[in-house]
Amino acid sequence: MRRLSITLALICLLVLTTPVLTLAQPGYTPHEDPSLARTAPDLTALLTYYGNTFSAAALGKYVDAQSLLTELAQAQIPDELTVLADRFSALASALFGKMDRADRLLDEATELLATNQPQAARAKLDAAADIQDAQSLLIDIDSAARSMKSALGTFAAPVLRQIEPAYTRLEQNLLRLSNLLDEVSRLRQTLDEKQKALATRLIPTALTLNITPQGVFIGESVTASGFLSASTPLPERTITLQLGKESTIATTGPDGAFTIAVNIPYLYVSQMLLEAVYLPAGDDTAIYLAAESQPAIINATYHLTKLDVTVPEKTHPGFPIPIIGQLSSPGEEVERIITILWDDVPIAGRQAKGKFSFEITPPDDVTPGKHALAIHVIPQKRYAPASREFTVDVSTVMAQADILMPSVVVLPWQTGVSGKVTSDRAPVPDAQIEVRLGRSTTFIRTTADGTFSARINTPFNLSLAGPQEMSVTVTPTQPWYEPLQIKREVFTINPSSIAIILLAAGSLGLFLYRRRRSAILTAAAQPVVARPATPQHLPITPAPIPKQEFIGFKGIILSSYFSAVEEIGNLTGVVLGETTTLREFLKTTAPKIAASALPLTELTVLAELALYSTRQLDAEAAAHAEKQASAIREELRRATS
Amino acid sequence: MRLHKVITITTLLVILALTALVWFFPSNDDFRLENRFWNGASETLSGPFRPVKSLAQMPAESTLLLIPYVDFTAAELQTVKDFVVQGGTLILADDYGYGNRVLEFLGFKARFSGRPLLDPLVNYKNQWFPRVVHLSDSPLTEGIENLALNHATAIANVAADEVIAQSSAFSYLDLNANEKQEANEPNGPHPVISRYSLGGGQVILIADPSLFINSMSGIEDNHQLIQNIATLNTTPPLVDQSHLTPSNLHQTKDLLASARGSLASPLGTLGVVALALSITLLPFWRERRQP
Repeated sequence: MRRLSITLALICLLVLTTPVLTLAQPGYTPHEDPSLARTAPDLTALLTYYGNTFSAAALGKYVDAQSLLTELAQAQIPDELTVLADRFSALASALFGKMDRADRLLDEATELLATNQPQAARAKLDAAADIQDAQSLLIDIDSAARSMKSALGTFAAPVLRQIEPAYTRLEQNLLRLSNLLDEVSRLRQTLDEKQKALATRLIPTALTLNITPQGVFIGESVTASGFLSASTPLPERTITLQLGKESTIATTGPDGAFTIAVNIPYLYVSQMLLEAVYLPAGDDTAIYLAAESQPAIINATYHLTKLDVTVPEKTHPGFPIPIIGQLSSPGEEVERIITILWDDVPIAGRQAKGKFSFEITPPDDVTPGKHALAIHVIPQKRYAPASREFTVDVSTVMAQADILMPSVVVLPWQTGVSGKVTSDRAPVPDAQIEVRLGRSTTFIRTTADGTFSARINTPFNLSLAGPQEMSVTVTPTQPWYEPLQIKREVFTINPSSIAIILLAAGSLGLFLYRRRRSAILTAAAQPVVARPATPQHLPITPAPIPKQEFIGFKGIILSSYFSAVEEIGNLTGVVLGETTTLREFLKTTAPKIAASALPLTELTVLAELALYSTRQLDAEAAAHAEKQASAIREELRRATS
Repeated sequence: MRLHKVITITTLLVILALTALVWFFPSNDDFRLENRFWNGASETLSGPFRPVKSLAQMPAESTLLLIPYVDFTAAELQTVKDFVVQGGTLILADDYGYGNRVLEFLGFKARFSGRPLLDPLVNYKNQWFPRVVHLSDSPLTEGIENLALNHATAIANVAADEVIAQSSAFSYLDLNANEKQEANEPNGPHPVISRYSLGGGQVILIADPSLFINSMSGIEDNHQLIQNIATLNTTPPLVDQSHLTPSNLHQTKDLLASARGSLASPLGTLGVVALALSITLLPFWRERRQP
C-alpha cells in the first residue's frame, strides 16, 4: 500500500509539473477576435491616397485615377467625414472625366488635322471647349482639400503631424494637375489656330458615290462608283470605301472616276451604309482638303430562320430532356447546326433540317432549382441565326421506403431489416441501403422489384437494456431521386452485459459478506485488552504472570519486575495484558504512580534486557532490580497509607 | 487513517478530477470543428464539412479544405497530389504555415507571400482586416460582393487569369512589420484567392484561413464563400484536422478519447471486468493460500 501511494503521488506530481494539462491558449496563430479589434480608420492614408489619385491624373492616367476614386468609395471613413469625402471624390471624378474627354477629343482633332480634315477637327475642338470649366473645378477641389485637412485635424488631433506631409503632397499634385490643365488649354488653342489655317489655305475637294444594284442578298456584291474632283477631276487618287468595319480600296481613273465591286458581309441586317473617303496623301497634303461622300444605303436581304421548339418546363437531375421542334426558312431547306446551352455553357450540338427531335441530359452536377436552357441555330450564309430561351425547373423525386425492423433487438446477435423502396408505386432498383445500429453498419442494394433484406451484426457494448436508434439510409443510383433516411428507436437487451454486471455485483456482495463475517469471528476470538484511557468501561483480562520459576540473575530481575507489576496493577487497576508491551505498561501507569515512575522505568529496562537481550546480566544488575522493586513497593505503600 | 492511505486517496481523486476537467473543458484550438469559441470552426465548418483525421481517408472527387499549420511528410504530399490529379478539389487556405510546401510539390509557381497584408482604407475595423472588393466571376464568388480577411497574407506569382479575388489598390504588404506603408513595400491590389487546374482536379488557394473561424463567418460575405466551397462538388466537403497545430489540451483529450475507445471495445470491456473481478476476489484467493 505504501509503495502504491508513493507511485501514485509521483505520477500525480509528474502530471502536474509537465505541460500536458496546460489549459492556456494555443501558440501564436495569426488572427485576432474581430469583436475585440480596435476600430482605427487611417485618416492620414486617406489624404495620402487622394494625393496618389491626383498624381496619377497629373500623369494623364485618368482611368487609373478614376478607378482609385471608385475604390475609395469602399474605404472605411468615419461618418463625420463621409459627406466631405464623398463631395471631394465627386469633384475629383468630374475633373478627371472632363480632362479625359478633352484629352481624347484633342487627340482625335490632331489626327483629323493631320489628314486635312479641318471641318471634322472643328467639331472635336468645339466639343473640348468645356475644359475651361475644369479650372474652376480644380479651385473647388483645392478648397475642399483645405476643408478636409481642417476636418481631419479636428477629428484626429493626435495624428495632425502625420496629416501635414500628406496634405502637402496632395497640394503639390493639385498644382501639377493645374499645370496640366494649362497645357491642355494651350494645345486646344494651337489646334484651333491650325484648323483655321488649314481651312483657308487648302483647296476643298468633292467626292460622289453611287451603288448598283440598291438591293442584294448578303454574301453578294454591289458595284460602287463615284467621282473625285477639286476644281478639276483628280486622277490616280486612293478612295477608301467603308462598309461597317470592312473597307475596300479603289483608285480614281484619269477622269477622277472610280468603280469597284464591294462584297456585302454576312450581317443579318436589312440596311447597310457604304461611305467613300478621300484622304490626301503625299504632295496632296499641302494642296487639298479631305473629302467624304454622302453615305449610300444598301438594302440587304437574307433568309429569316423560324425556330419552333418545345421543351418541358420541369425535369429531374439525370433525366433526359426531349427537345422537339421545327426549323423553317424561305427558299431551299438546308441542314443547320443547333447548339444547346445550359446556364450559358454549351452542352450539346446537333445537325437538323426541318422537323427535329432529340434528347439532352443536363450536367451531372446540376442542382435543384431554375436553370436557363438556350437553343441556338447557327447562321449559315444567307440563313439568319435563330434562338429560343427557356427556363427549366429541376427538382428531385422523393422515393418512399416501407421498412420492417424489429422493435426489440438482443445484443450482440444479428438482427434483420427488410423493406421495399418505391417512387409513385414504381420500384426503385439498385438503390444502396445503409442500415446503421449504434456503430454497426451494413450495406445492401435493392433488387429489381425494389425490395431488400439485410442482416446487421449488432455491436458489443456495455449497455444493459434501453432504446437505441436504428437508421436506414436509401441512396438511389438514379440521380433524380432524393436520398432518404428513416430513423426508428428499437429496444435493445444485452444479456451478456447483464450477466457480467450480475457476476461483478455478486462477487462484490460475496466479498463484503465474507469480510464482515471474518471481522465478527476475529473479534469473538480475541481477548479484550484493557485500555488505560478507559479502564472503568472495558473488562480487564489480566495477563497471567509467568508461573515458571525464574533462575539465575535474569530470574531475579524478572521476579522483581513482575512482583512490582502485580502491585502496581493492584493499585492502579492497569494490568499487563497479553499484547501489552513492557513500555506500554510503563507509559500507561507512570502518570498514576508518580514517585514510583522512575524506579519502574529502570526496572522495565532491566526486565527487557533479561527477556530480549543476549547480554549476560550480573549480580549487580539483579541487586539493582530488587532494589528498584523494593523502592516501588515502599512508594506504593506510602501512597496507600 | 494512516498517512499513506490519505496520500493514495488524494492522489486518485486529483487524477480523476484532472481527467474530468480535461475531458469536459471545451477545446480552444484554432480552426477545430469542436471549438465553439471565436477562433474555432464549430459554426462555420461543422454543418456541411466532415472532418478527416488523416489525409489517407479522402474519397476521390470531393472537396478538401486543408489548413497546413503542421509540416507534411513526403507520403502526405503525394496523397494530396494524387487526390487532386484524380479529380478532387483542394482548397489550400494558408497565411504563415506550410502551404508553400504543397505548392512546391504540386509544381505551381504561386506562393503564399508570408508577409502581412494590410489595408489602411478598405478594411473592417482596422488595417489588419482587409476587405476584398475585387472578385472575378467564378462558382466560388457567386453571391459575394465583399470578403473580410483577418491577419491575412497575399499570393505571389499569380497570372491574371488565375486570380479569383484580390485586395484593394490601397492594400500593401508590410515587409518590415512596422504597420506603416513605406516606399519599397508593394502596393495592392494583391491576389488573395486564385485557382489552378491539375490533372482532373483543381486547386484553390486562399491567403487567409481565418476566413473559416466562427467570429469571421458573419462578417461581410464570408459565410457565402464557405457555402460556395461546400457546393463545389456533390459529395460533402472534407476538412483536414491533421495539419492543425495541436495544443496540449487537445493532445490530452485525444489520449483520453483513445483510452475510452480501447475500454469501450469488447476486449477492453472484458479486461475491465476481469480486473474488477480480480480485485474483489483477491482476498479470497489469499485466504485460501494461507495454511
